[in-house]
Amino acid sequence: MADRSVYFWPAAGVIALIATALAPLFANDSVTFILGLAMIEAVFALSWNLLFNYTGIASFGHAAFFTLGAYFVACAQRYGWDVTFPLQLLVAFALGGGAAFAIGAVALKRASGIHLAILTLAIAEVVRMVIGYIDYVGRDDGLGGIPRPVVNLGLATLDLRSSSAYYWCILVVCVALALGLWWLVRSRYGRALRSIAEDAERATFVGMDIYKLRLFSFTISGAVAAICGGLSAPWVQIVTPDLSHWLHSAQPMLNTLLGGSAMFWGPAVGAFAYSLINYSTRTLDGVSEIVVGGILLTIILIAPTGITGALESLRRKIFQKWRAASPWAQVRVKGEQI
Amino acid sequence: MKPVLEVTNLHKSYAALKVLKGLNFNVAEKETFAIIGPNGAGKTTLFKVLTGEVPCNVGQIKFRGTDITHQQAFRRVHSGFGRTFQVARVFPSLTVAENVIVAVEARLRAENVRSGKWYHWRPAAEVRDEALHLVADLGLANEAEREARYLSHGDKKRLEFAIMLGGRPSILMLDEPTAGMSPTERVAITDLIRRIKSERGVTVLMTEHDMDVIFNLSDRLMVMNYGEILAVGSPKEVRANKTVRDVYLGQEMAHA
Ligand SMILES: Nc1ncnc2c1ncn2[C@@H]1O[C@H](COP(=O)(O)OP(=O)(O)OP(=O)(O)O)[C@@H](O)[C@H]1O
Ligand SMILES: [Mg+2]
Repeated sequence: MADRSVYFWPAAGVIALIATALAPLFANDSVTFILGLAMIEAVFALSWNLLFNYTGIASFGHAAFFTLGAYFVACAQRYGWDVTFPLQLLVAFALGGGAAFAIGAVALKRASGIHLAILTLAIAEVVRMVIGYIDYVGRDDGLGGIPRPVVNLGLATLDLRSSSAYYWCILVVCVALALGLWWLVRSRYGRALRSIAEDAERATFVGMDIYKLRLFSFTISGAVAAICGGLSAPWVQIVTPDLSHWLHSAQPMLNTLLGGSAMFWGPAVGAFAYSLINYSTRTLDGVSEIVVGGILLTIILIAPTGITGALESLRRKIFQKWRAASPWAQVRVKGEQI
Repeated sequence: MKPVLEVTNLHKSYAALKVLKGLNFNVAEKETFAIIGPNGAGKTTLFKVLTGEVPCNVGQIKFRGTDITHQQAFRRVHSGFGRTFQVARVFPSLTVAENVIVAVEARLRAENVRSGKWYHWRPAAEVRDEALHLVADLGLANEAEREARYLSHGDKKRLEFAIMLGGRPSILMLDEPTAGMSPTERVAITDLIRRIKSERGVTVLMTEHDMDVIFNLSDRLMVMNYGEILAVGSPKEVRANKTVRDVYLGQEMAHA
């Protein structure tokens, strides 16, 4: 008998997606706001995990790219630059990718492991401080009162000024980005990156230019992080230099740890779980940080492979007897898939 | 015939430790060239320098007439180097089939060959076929779906061979291919190397401690000790060499 339990994750994904999509119709404004942020943080975490799990690079300054995208869109909206919103996001993508390429081209040549981590951390801090000196973007106070966009599509106009309309815009963009990343890690490039993550030196001896492949991954990851930033600016309606704070760089790491790095959707699950924990403890005045920290610590200690890792091993344990071919496998042997 | 590999005055030291002290030797097309010597003689270090894993301090390496002394390791792979490691190295959390697919795809990328549509995430049919053929050829057909970390030591070695052959190399560098194996596995690997040679007409450079394997396979032998060459020649000549007997072959010769 075929193992029906392989449909667990797709089914869970579809349900989660529908629930998220319908949220503005049922949930109150603050829940909707948090879900919108969670989607953005989810994709931000996925882009970080493209580096961490799928390429074997730990970036401690990923928020720098997020900040870049956020400030670009913030300026464009606030100062009414003549750039339509979809184009703004594309420019954010290009800016983030360009910055990541430039940084990666130097950093990945020289550094790896902990050195690279510290280097990226330092770059993000520099970004934060430099922004704090620029009058145009409001120095330490940041830019507030960012209007949400109205997109002119020629015949029709898409009014994203209402909270729910912009929420769905976030949903569409985030789903597209996540699916793009998902395709990437399963493609031949993803396979190559995974082998580099496993053993970079070994990968050299099957003829891989690991510098080039790592740089490719770093660029994509930075570009996606920048779009996430770009999406967030009109949602939160304020950008501050703290977007590039190391605490924000730590957020995708925490989400990845919480959700599990080994499964593609782990970091996204982690982002939603983190938001949930944060939201449900918001009334515990003064002690909420301690409670949040305690809960996170407990989950990570109980499930070192994260929420998705724990659920996956549970699924395998329960459905052990039907360990048959999975329809999602990439390679078939004798007509079966592995 | 022009040699495939020409090594001139090769020096390598790790800090103050001189590991290779001016090696000179040539390897001819399609021969099996074995390097033997006691532990710590510098055999693995020589392989690392030849394949580009570590740079040499002084000297020159020529491959088919081109100077590759400063060429990056992956470019040497593109030009035909294949390699296995003293301790088998595979990609542990990829499946056996994926391990080989990754190697085939890397070769195609280097050759600028398009395999399948860029947006297909499954490997192209010809990639998959080539990889599975190699997997089956090395007797791993039943393991194809397993993650490589679960393989036995001998099977890991076979997988390493499959990964190497996925790159279609013209020169193989095998660092102790039978290390840590049972006598039956040793025979199997020896047969495998002989078969690869006859089917693909490759040049083989290998190190080995097992004298049966060495005298079975090699056309020429090079004996190293403390980073220096003691003797080079046919197995017969080396056996007859007095210094070699004293330094290394002492007991091994008794039953070889
Ligand atoms: N990375 C390194 N740093 C410092 N010394 C090293 C390094 N690698 C090897 N050595 C030293 O270089 C010498 C030669 O080592 P090598 O591994 O090349 O010997 P070998 O001939 O392959 O030995 P074996 O038969 O045990 O495999 C040894 O003395 C070893 O300790
Ligand atoms: Mg050795």
